[in-house]
Amino acid sequence: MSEFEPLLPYDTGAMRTVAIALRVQSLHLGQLAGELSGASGGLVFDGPAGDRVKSSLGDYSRTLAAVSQQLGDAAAKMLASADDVDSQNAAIEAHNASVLAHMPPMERKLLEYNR
Amino acid sequence: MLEAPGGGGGTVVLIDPSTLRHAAARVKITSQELQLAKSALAQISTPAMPSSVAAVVLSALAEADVSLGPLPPGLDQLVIELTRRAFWAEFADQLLAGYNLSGTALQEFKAWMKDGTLLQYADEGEAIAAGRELAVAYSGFRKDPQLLIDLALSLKASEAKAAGAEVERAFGAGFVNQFGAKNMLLVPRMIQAMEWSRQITFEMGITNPNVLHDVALSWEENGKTLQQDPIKDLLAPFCITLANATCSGMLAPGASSAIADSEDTWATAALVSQGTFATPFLLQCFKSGVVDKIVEDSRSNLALGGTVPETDFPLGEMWSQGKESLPFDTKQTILDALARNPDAAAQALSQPIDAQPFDVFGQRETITNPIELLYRYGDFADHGAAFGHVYVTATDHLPPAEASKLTVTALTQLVGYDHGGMSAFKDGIATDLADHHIKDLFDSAASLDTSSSIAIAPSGADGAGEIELGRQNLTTVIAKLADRPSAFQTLLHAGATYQAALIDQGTQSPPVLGSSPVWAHKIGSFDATVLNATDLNRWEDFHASDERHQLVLGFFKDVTNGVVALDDPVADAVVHTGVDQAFDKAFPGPDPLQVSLTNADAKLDMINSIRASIAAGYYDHGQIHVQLPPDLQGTNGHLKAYGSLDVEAKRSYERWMHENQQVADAVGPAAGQVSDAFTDQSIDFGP
Repeated sequence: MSEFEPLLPYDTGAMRTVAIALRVQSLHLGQLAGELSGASGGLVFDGPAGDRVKSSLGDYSRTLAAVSQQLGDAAAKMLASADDVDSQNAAIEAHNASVLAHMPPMERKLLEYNR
Repeated sequence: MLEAPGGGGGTVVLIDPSTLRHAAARVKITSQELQLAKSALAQISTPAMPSSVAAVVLSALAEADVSLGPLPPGLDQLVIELTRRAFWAEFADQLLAGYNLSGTALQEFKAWMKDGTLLQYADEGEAIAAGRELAVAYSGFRKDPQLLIDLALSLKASEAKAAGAEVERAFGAGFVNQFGAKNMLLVPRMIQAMEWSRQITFEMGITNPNVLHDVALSWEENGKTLQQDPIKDLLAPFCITLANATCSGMLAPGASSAIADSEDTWATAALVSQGTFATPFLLQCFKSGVVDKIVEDSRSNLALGGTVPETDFPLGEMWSQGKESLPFDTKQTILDALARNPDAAAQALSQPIDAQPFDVFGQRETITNPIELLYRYGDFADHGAAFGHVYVTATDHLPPAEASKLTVTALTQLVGYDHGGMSAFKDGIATDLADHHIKDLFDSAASLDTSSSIAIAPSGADGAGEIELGRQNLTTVIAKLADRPSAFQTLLHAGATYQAALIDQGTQSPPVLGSSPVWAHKIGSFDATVLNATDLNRWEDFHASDERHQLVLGFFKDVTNGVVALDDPVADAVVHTGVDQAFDKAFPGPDPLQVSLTNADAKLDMINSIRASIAAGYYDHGQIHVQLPPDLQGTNGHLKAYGSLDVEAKRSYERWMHENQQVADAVGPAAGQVSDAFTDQSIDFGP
């Protein structure tokens, strides 16, 4: 007969909270990237200085977009991982319940008493 | 708005200031939001999670921190650029047309001049306009000294951030032309009145009409105290602005002359106390503030028996509690300004003047050579130190043939008109001789000319600009430089390096019995002249308490060390080109604490060091094949430097030189030449 198995030691609630925070910041940075892009697009500013300013704004916008993307990806992975942890823990709990159900009554009572 | 780039050229650049301001506002908000986002991300603490996810999350957070870090400052800089460029796009035409700003535009102008950012994005035309507008905006400074302080801050910030030297110069010209010479000259006086307000207010009997008593009184009555360094924070920005204006080629001639020729020479001197000014302006200042002043002082000296002090309230002295102030002597300040511009220094000392100072008998003498006037009639509080700086700058800058004319004049004055008031100028002469003429001094010492001539060498000599001194005057020159230890040390150190190089080069060839090496005669002659000039005709004359004698002793040790330290190519270069500053620094002089302090040690050193230097040269070049005593063996097979040895090792060195026949034979011809040169000049260093 098989043994009891331990649950995975992760706080999926906390993982989801952090993932949501990351997602919020990812969205925020994405908006800021768009804002810089918009500021650049609205400029009527020709010449070398204008080109340089627009180029700088474009660079900053792209940097923000990249960071936004990376944070968004991390948030998504974290949420998926939390779901995975929850489903693994559910399977472990079912397994442990089955082990318990197959024990002799005295042993089960002793075990439940010790728990 | 359409704008032509760079004042023309065909193409037009389209700039709409309203879009620039609008974009700046959006970027500014973005920057602020970004700061908040950064803080929020920094506060996230990750819980325990599977390692594969943890790596991704931690990597994303770390990357965000690195990538977002430079963004807010960069965005803030873009906001500044966009708003300042919008300002210029909006108001440049108005300012260039001579219309002044008002309202918000004036407020923005003042604020952005004060932090320097407006000039950061200005072209030359805009910089001129900015200078003009700033002068107008602060024209009321005479009644409100706080305006002067704000103005100084604006000038300082704008100079620091202006987009290049041309913009700075254009800005300076725009400012000074509008501000005017009269106001520029008032600036040092205003600062003086603020710094010395109490003394000026309450001191009786201030007769100088240029001291601003009313400003001091008002400052004092309002209970104000100066919060800025009067020289570095307040005066310096005006000096630099004026310096830039003189270099711009756009400064109105009237303004330039009015400042240079002002009767208030104290104010003029204060205004040139910092910065690099254009040559024509400096030459004007030199004429009025130094040449004419010396002539005027020569008259005052006759009447009053001494020079009249310029002012009782030197700038910076009260603020620094006596630690730092502008020189009391305004001539000195102007000479220091000349020394910062090599071309001006060269012209000032080489162009003829027409000065007629009064001699001690009240007779007018016509002097056309500026060095002669300054040397003989200049009464300098720094004993000619600043004059020496100008002299060194000029002789460094001029072509050798021209520079040597200055050298000949200076040496002629030193020999014929030396006086205590020029003691510090000797440092300048020594530096010039050390840097440009050390070879000439050795050649002069060895020549047969015993006259009192000081002249440029005739053409056909080794190179242009060599000088020749008769032995009598060479001795006098060295004797007079020896009166000032710092000057003497400069000369002797170069002499030691050159002498070491001569020995090094001379001993590259095998010694020939019965020969008369010219190089050895040359070093013997120079050393004999130095000894004569310092009253050291016999070793018994050595007095450890005489600083000159300690320096001469250091010279001999310097030579022995130099022969060991010099590489052949360096020695050849020194012999060929003289002792320039690179060589000079490469061979630092002897540690003053290491020179012999007793007469007995000194005797030992002086008698043997020349012979030891020659022996070291021959040994190191492989011309002597003998086993070295163990205590004389240095690193890499070299002989130890005689000057570095203790008394016992020196005895060993002497025995090696005198008792080893091969060494004695090798050293003999050169040592004989030295000995002959000594005898020729009545130097008796025999045992």
